[in-house]
Amino acid sequence: MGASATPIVETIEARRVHRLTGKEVVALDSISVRIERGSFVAVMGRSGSGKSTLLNLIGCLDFPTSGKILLDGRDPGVLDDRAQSRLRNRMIGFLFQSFNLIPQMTVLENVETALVYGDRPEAEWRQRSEGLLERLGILERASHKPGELSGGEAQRAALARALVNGPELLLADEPTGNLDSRTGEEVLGLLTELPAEGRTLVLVTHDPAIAERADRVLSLSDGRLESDRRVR
Amino acid sequence: MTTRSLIQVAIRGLALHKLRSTLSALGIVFGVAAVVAMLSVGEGARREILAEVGRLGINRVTVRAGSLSRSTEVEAGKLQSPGLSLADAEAISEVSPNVESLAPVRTASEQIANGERRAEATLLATTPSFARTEELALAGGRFVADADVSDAKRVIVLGHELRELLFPYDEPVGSGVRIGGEWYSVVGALEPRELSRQGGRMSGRNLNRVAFVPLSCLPRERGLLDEIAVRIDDPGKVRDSARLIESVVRRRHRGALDFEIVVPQELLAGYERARFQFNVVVGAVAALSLLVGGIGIMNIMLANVSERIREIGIRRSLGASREDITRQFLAEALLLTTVGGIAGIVLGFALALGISSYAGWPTAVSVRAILAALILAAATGIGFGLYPAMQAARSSPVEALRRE
Repeated sequence: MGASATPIVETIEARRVHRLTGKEVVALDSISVRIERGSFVAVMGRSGSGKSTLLNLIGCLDFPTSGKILLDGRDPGVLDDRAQSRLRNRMIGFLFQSFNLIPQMTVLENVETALVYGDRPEAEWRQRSEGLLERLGILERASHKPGELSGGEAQRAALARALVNGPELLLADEPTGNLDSRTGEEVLGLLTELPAEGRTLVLVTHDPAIAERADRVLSLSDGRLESDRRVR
Repeated sequence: MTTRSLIQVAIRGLALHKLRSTLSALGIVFGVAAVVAMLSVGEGARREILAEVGRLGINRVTVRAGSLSRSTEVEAGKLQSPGLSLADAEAISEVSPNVESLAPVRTASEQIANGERRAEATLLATTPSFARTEELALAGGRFVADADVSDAKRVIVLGHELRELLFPYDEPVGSGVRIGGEWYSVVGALEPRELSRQGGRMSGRNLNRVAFVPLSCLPRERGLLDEIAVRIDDPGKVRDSARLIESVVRRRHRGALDFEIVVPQELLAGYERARFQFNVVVGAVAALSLLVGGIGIMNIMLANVSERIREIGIRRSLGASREDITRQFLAEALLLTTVGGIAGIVLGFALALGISSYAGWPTAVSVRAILAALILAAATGIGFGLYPAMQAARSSPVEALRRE
């Protein structure tokens, strides 16, 4: 079995329970899915259905209470904080609904922040960041602070930051939720190019029209996998 | 994370709230300024006292023949000590590298008479180098010369008080005085000598009541001496040289303790005690003000951390480890206190200058004080920044990202 046959993400009976003032809340219940490299997977469900929890587990920001998450066949849960952070830095890019740019830093500094925690030589940072900003069409906003950007520009800056380390996996949580339909469409257009580059896109949305463009749609309800539908 | 990006991130973080950062750093600024100013006053006082002790003979070491107690006399005899002699003086000048000048001394109490005027005096027989060793200043005439010593000439140089007692109205140089049955011709007289206020054994004799004659005028068997007066070229080497001289003489005396070493520099010991007390007070003030300053820093850093919890979440999602987050906030605290510390040093320097010109106290800013202030400020940053920084690193990234 070749390495390419190993799914980029595999969840095995992944379960996440939150304990809130003695009461147990099951955020995610025994999810088992395999996500192939280079695919575009949409995750749907109402709020509280566990979509974001799943995304956080895949992104190593959170860890399952029981079960396992394997990234490229390996379990990040056994690594120490440092190694987990390295993994996040190299392998995973995040995109959030509210952009999550650091307000006191310029667009360029925000993009470079992802490089600061990696181990690429500092000499490459600027060129790499500016190249990506140019590709995403916002190079002229590089020295602006996030507060001075439109929603579309902010999300593109965030996308540049998410992609600057060349991650295999892009995790997007309602990336167009705060954008109007036109700029949302633009951002979505940029995102849907990623699978063609061999990157895997996992996108949380509650918009069926967006989900229809994915290769595969996972529907969650009350922390359970309700359906797993291949669109193409 | 490179140091450069760490500093850049810290500057950006602190610039978020310029007023808040400045105010919290003020505690450090004033604390450090107070410490630097006080250390400057202390250093000024130290230098002044050193100068004072310098007048008393900070460079001086005296080897004095012991007034032997019965037991040591027996012991010295048993050990066949030759006693303090000219040979010892030669040995000291040969062995010790820091000896600037050295003079053998013999003393006797005598009555000096000029006609009807009489004065009790200490007759001090020595060589010309004694003038250099004791930094004697002539009011007129000359000091004992080499030829006087080799020929045992009956010449005498009078201390200030003796001259006033014996020659109140006329010029002494060229006149004669009588000591016992001998006539001595006066060849010189000394300037009045400021006496040490400390008194006691260390300060030595009242040179204003001493008359100086050539060493050979007080002959002793086997070249025995009462004292060897030594001047050391470097005040910092006096104690070491004294130890060396002691070991040389002791070896020559076959281990007998029939001599003692007198080091006026040891007068400084009393001053050092006072200085220690001063330093304790300064240290307490420093600790207190930096404690207050540090609490201010901690307070601000805790506010920064809780306000920027979302930023911490974002950084964690971008691959920052807990260690990276700790270091970032530690760097901010460190930057705050170090910049505050530098401002405090400048302010403290200005304060010291103000005290100098207003109160007239001597002040001196030492490099050591500046370094100590900087290290203290930095240590305060680390000490009081560590808890907020660890608090920042502890937060869960998911929780942090959820916060508004």
